[in-house]
Amino acid sequence: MRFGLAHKLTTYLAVAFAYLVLVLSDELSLGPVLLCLVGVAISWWWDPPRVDLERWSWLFTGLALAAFGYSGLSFLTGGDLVITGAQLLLFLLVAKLFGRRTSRDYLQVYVLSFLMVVAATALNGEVSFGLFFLGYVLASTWALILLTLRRDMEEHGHVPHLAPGDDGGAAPGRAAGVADMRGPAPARLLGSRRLVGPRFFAGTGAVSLVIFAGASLLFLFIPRIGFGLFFSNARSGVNMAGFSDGVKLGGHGVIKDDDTVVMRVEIGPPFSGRDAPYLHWRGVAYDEYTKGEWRRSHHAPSTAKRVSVSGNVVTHHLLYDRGQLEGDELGAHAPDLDGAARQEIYLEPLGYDVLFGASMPAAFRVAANYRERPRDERNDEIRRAHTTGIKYTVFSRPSPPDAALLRRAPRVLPPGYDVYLQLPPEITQRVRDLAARVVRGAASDYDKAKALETYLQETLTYTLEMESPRGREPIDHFLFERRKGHCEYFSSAMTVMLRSVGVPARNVNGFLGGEWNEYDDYVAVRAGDAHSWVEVYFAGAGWVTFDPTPGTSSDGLGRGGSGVMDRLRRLADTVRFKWFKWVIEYDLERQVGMFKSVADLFRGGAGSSVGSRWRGVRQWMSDHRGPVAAVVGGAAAIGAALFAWRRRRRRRADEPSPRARRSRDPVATAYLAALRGLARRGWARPPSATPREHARALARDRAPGAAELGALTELYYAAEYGEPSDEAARQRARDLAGAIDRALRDARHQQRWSRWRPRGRSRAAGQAPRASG
Amino acid sequence: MKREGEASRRGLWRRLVGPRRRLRLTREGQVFLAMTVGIGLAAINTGNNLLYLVLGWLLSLIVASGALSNATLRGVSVRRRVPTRIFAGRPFAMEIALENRKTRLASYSIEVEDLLDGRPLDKRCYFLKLPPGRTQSASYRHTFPRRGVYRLDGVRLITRFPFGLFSKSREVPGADEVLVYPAVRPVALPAPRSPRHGDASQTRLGRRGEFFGLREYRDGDDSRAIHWHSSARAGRLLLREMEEEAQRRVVIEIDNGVADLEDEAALEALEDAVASAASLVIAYLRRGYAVRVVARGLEVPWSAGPSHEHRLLRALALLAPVSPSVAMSGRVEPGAEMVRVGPRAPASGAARAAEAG
Repeated sequence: MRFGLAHKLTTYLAVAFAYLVLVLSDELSLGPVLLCLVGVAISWWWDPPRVDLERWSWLFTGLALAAFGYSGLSFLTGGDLVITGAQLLLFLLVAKLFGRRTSRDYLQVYVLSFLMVVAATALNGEVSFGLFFLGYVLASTWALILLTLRRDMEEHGHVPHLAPGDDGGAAPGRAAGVADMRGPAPARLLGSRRLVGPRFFAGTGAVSLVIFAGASLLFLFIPRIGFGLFFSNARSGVNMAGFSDGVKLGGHGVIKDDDTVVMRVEIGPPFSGRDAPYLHWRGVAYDEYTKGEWRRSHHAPSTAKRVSVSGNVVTHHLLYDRGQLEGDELGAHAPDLDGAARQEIYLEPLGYDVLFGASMPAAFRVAANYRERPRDERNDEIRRAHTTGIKYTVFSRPSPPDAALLRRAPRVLPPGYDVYLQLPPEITQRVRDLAARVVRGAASDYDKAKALETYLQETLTYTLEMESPRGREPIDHFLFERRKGHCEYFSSAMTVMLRSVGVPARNVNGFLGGEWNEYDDYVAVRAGDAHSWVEVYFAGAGWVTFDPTPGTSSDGLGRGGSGVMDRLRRLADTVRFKWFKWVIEYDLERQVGMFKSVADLFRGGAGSSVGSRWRGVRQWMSDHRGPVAAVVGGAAAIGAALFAWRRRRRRRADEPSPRARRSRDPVATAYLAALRGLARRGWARPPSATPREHARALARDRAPGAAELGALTELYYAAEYGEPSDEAARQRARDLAGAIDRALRDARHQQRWSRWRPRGRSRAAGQAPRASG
Repeated sequence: MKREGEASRRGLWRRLVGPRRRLRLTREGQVFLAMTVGIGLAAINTGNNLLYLVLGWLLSLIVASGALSNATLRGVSVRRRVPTRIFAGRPFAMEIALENRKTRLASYSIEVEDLLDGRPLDKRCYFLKLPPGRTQSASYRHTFPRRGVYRLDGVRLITRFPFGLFSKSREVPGADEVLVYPAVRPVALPAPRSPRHGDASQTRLGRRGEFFGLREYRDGDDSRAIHWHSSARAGRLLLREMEEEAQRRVVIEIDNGVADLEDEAALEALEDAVASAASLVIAYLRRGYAVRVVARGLEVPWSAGPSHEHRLLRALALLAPVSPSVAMSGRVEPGAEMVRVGPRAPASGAARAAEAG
């Protein structure tokens, strides 16, 4: 590939990757993005000599200034600084691409593309950033190396070391050589195919991969002491309804088929694996139901919690109904996390600040954020604002208390808990009657709840098809007319019916179950797993989960199938999860954990999973010494054979192949033929002599055909080291070679004839050729 | 013993890490470093991990830059070919040959600068690509302003490869002494003393151009005079020696007496005189004269031909000012032309001062 083309290509590759990294953030307006794309594409052909760049430079300078003005105005009228800046960078890049001429222009293009990547770090937190950043590293490494060569060419190429024809006092024999060593002209070198080839690209490509690996290592090891003082990057999250302060029954569309992962949970046995049971991932709880809408009312009890801080980590221990206890009384109920199911949760940005955890959560552990203002937390929720997704730990007690204990629970309500008995006046009498009829005969609140749960599961049907209640009260419509609905209807109906029979209950929104990912051992919870259920209060035991929706616990985490496409989908999610876990949310805690793992690996510590794996590998190798030795020996033999083959090949490569010889220029062929003829007559060229020196030596010794050889040598130089020869030069070379051949034949004839002549005449015949051989 | 141990440790270290290298930040490198610091501060401030990733990339580029520039300079050896004749005030081309001894890696974008008394000469040679196992040559043009012996210490290899952020250099030892002849200029020879001089040949030797004998080739001889047949037979270079026109003889007397060595004007005048003498030497020798040079404390006896030219120019290149009390060497030669040049001679530098005998 020509050097100039290679440099241009790598430059455009780097620009393309920077463009993709930025544009895939989905934050920029479509107009500038498309305009830039078209501009970049056209600029590829905007090259001298096709275009006189000087003539058009005013236009692009003007456009760049206009872009500055537009961006400044956009920012002053409330535009986002990063987005406005990114759009400006796009315009400037296009303007620069239209004016690229020297290495300096190319350097400015790289600076602009780099700034685009920097802007993308604030706008694009997706895996696409990592993917195209890798491409950018590869392309920009090539481009930077070629730029360095180009700039050095520009600096040295036009400064000849020696003016033509000036031997500068050098020895005459060397002057010709010196003249050949003049600085190269950049234009000629830009068209050279010898400077960079596949080997160069492969080598520098490997270097750029090493650079990327180095960047990744440095990324892991640079201490994370970030403060996030003035800036926080946002990440486009999942747009889903259902977790705001108010939720209208049937007010949002069907999301069951939405496969977007909203949360990934690492959890241990018995809740891990494809056979593990479903868990309810609790999020928002609603206490007030009015006119078909659930709300978090201002009367609802604030979340009772005790906060403990350890280093950079804050733990929120949920107290539930023990919130009113104080001092010694609370001490007796000190939060105990032993035996609780621990979950590491990676939550995507959902547009809500509520944190999810398996029912019922005992504690939430999150990174400290001292700048955050206290959130309005009610109904035992924990909230934390996040725009980039968040990682936190939850400790839960998924198993409900023993039924006997719940049956014995006294009917006592803590202060403020009467909101969980709230019923709006529009609840029809037949709903209340139905509830009373269903719970007839139930002795305890627990039995009532169970009876209602069973009734709803068994007598009504689950459907995702929405239907307007046509002005009727939605629960009444669901229970008596439509008799089918989705989870919100079931949970709302059960909550309302429980309240109508005097049992405190609340409606809860969250997610149910998920899909087990076998590649990285986590539960992927998708937007389609959104669910509603009921929590019932039992004095002394707290809140207990009831789920009246039919068919919710039948699947297990093994759903999603094991076909190729399902596996690929899970694999893709694993990549995204790893990106989120190891790049976006990589923090000091994870860094310290990684250092400890590395230390354990070197120490072979018992606690290290890597160390134990290594020990396992060693054990396996010692158990299979024979096969291991055979494999190692075979690999060594193959390596040695490969090495020998490559060595031999390299030696052969040093000699010109017959094919290469055949492909020589005809002038060179004629010259070499003449040289062979001369050598046969004893005028061989010594290895130390250049062709020109040889020609001069023959001229000095008055060798036959010396004058023709001098002319042929010059043609040979021109063909071998200059432009390829034209037909006239070839013909002349053939003529000269023929003349040399004739001169040699004549000389030979003369030599033979002279043997028969008297000695005196022989001496006068001129200088005899050298003895051959 | 302890010192020896330290020295051997240092030697081992040097063998492991290679020769000492010097690193200088280029202008682009300064901008790059400023951007790296900026990105680092932004990463710390925002806690944005993607900025940490970009920072890691910038830092690893710096590391890779160091490793690749080392690889470029490693395994490269330099040879310098000094021209046989260098005259003061006249540009010459110094040839630099660079050999890449690596078996796999090409070296890119290497500048070579010659070091004179530890300082670089103003000109550099540039090698764009040096394939593995290959040797390439380039030359730089330089002019030494004054005659004398110059000591070239070694050469410095400089590269900005691969990213142009740093300029890394390595000095390669290789001392050479360069003898710079006095400046020469066209001179008009003084008219011969009498027509007899220059015309009559010695009967023993005959006219110039006639074969006289063979002798071994010496450095500075005209390669055109090599007798190839005889050289081939003898296995060494032999030169055709022509008859010497001994009757055309000239003595160039140069007064190198300077009373005050601090007197810049006197020293300059002496330099001018030496230049005139050198110009006369060349002019006379080219016309076939046998030339003898005398000065205070210096006498170069009669001879002619290219090798004598070298001898005379060498003597003039090294001629030092001495006290005027030092007597002029040599005796008066009867029947020879005599040209006297000296600081007190006219500015043209050449004047026939006297005729001996």
